[in-house]
Amino acid sequence: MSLLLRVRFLFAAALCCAALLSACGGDVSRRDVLAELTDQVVVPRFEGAASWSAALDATAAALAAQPNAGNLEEAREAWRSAQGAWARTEAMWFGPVMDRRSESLISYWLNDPKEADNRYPRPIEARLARSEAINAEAVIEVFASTERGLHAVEYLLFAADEQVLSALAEPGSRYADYLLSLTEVIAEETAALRDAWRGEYGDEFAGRGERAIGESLALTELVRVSVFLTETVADMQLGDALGMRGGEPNPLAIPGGAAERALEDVRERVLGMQELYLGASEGLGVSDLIAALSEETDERMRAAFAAAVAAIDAIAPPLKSAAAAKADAVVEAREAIEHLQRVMNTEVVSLLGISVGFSDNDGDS
Amino acid sequence: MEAGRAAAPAAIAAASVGRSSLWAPIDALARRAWEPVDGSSAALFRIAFGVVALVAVIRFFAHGWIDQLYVDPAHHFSYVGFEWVRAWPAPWMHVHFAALGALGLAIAVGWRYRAAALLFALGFTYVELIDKTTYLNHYYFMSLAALLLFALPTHRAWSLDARREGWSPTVPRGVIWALRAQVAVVYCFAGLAKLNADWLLEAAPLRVWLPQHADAPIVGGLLDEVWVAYAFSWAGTAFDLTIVGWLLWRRSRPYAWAALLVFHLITGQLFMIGVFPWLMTAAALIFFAPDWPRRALQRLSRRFAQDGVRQPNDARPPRWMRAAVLVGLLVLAVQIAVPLRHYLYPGTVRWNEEGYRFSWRVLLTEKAGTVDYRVTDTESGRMWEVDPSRYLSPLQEERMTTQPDLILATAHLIRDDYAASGVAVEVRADAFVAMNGRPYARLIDPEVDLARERQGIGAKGWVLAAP
Repeated sequence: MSLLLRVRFLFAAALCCAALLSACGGDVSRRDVLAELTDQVVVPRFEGAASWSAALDATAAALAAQPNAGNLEEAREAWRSAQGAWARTEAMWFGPVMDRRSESLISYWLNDPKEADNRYPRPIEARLARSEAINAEAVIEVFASTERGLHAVEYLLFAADEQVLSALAEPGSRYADYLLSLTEVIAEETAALRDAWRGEYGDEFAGRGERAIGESLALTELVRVSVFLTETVADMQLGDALGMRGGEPNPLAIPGGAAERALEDVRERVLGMQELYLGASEGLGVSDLIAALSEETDERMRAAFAAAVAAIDAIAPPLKSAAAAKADAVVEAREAIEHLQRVMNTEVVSLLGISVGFSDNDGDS
Repeated sequence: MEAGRAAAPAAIAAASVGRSSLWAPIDALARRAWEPVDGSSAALFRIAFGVVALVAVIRFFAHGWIDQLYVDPAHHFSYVGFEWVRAWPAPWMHVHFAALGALGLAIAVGWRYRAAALLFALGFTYVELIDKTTYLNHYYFMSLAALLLFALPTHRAWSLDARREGWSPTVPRGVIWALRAQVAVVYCFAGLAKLNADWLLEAAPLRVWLPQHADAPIVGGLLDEVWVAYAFSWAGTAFDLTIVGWLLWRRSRPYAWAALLVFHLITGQLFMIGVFPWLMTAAALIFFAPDWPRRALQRLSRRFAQDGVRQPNDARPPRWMRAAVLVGLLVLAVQIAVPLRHYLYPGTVRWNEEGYRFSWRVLLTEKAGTVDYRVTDTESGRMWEVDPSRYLSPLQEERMTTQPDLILATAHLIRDDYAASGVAVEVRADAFVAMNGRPYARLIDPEVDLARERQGIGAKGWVLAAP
């Protein structure tokens, strides 16, 4: 046998051995985790958001047609559910949400104290006071982000009962036009997100089909958004509300208005992250990848989630008032979320070998 | 057989360099180093370096790194003593890189070689000195190699300069030695750095890094196995520590280079290390006999049949050769001392990074961190937190979180920023780092006012011990 033939034979044999040994491995793959998270967590959560947004649109229409206390309560209940479902998706704001800039249509919240005139609820009040026609197209094309979305609906639905009902009962009610245009846009946008995740983008993210995005990129997106969300909640919301990042305490840094759902929304955000980490009840999650590399870190992540949820539950609502009073429970909840952020941003990021800063630079140290 | 050996004239033994017993070893070394050998392998080193330098510059343009790393950041992390080094304003930084690419090409073709090598060495080192967060071991190697090329006549063969001047295509044997020594330093210290408990006993960080490629075709499943991480760790250590020996031994040389090629192909596939694998694979060819490229080409064409060793430049080493040998030994000693300087600092170098750079600690540690700064107004006592991303680019922030000197520099940025507004502040850091899969731990003493600490090369007492 010639030397060349021998080398070829050895190479082929080595490849066969490697393939056989590889096939023996029964460990969870990143691709499997991403596929199950897509199908069992992300898609159902956007379906939930779309479903509750459609319910909100329907109950708002019923309320506008027949403004009465019963319909008002149903619309408010639908808003609470839609807001909760949307907050639960916040850890999943990558892909379609970013591509479509959905946040600006559904839930933008300005927390810069220097922008007092543009902060909730002034832009909404100003829009109501103007005379231009309000319809869904105008909401999308003309309105500022601070004039639309679930918080604008919150303002309209959670004003005093009499004020809401009388405004809606006016002939040719501008109040009703505003409300219905907002809920229509929210319902359409959440439905578009649901469809994107059910369809092409879901397949790409799950690694199915020719346009599948690399698992490292997908996993980076997933963890990056969770890290960013913990930073947002701990620093830009609770931190600023407590006045711990310079400036005066600013409770308005926490998103949410008269419905006083802010505390529940913070809880939903953490639960959304936890769902991505643990996976659905019977499914795979990021936890399966981490546990294979470090059971200790996996346990720390699980404990950090549990501690964060417990700390949030220990806050006496409403959250803004508690933050304004610098309640210990708020400070402790912030610390618990910061701890969660640190475990994610150091141990999890390190174990998964991803860069949340999106650095594509070479590295050799 | 190395072509120059037979031709070394006996007259060199009575050369003009000193005869005292004190100088005898140096003079013997100088005589041996002055022996002419074929210049084709040195020329190949030069060509390969120039091409890799050009490719490296093209990658800077292609990835947008010139703006991202040097033009866009509002601040740069300077090296101690080199605070005066500043990035050119746009578009001159791009012009600078274009010039580096042209110089790489000039080195490769051997046109105005000495000037090109010196300008490349200075220009590339200038770029590396702008910002510590861009430090890479292989860029450091490029700076050293470029400086070495400037000092060595690797353009005696296969260069436009040689064609113009009609030089004999030989080089002193010392040229080959110097290039081999430069390559050897990298592998030896990369191997020594791996002699630590994490690497050998825990297979860290490879047991974290390899599973990231578990979805790779054919061998992917293997990379998930812990025993594979151990095998890679031990094999990598053995490779780095012994490869120079195997390359020096003529009988094992071809197999060693083949193993080196496989090693760098694998690491190039698994890790984002840019041109490093190609640079080292090409550079390691210098361990073959000095005339091997010419002999290889002779098989292809008679045009390359000329044997430069039959036309030696000069039989006797000149007087400056003694000084050249001494300088060469001194440079080698410095290059050995620099990676060992971390022993002057207390603690674990992989954690505190005191003496980490310029030490060939290639792909040695996995670290990720997070830093928040607590700022206190010294007058009112009011305290608040500052996000470092206000001052740094994403890459700078990512690198800063695990490196104490960068954490200190950022604290000084914050201090100076408030001072410019007339507010005197104390700055403390809540810095947490996870290393090699361990739970995160504090890196910096949270009670120390970093605004008062000075940047320097002394030990940093405010860096906490490794967990």
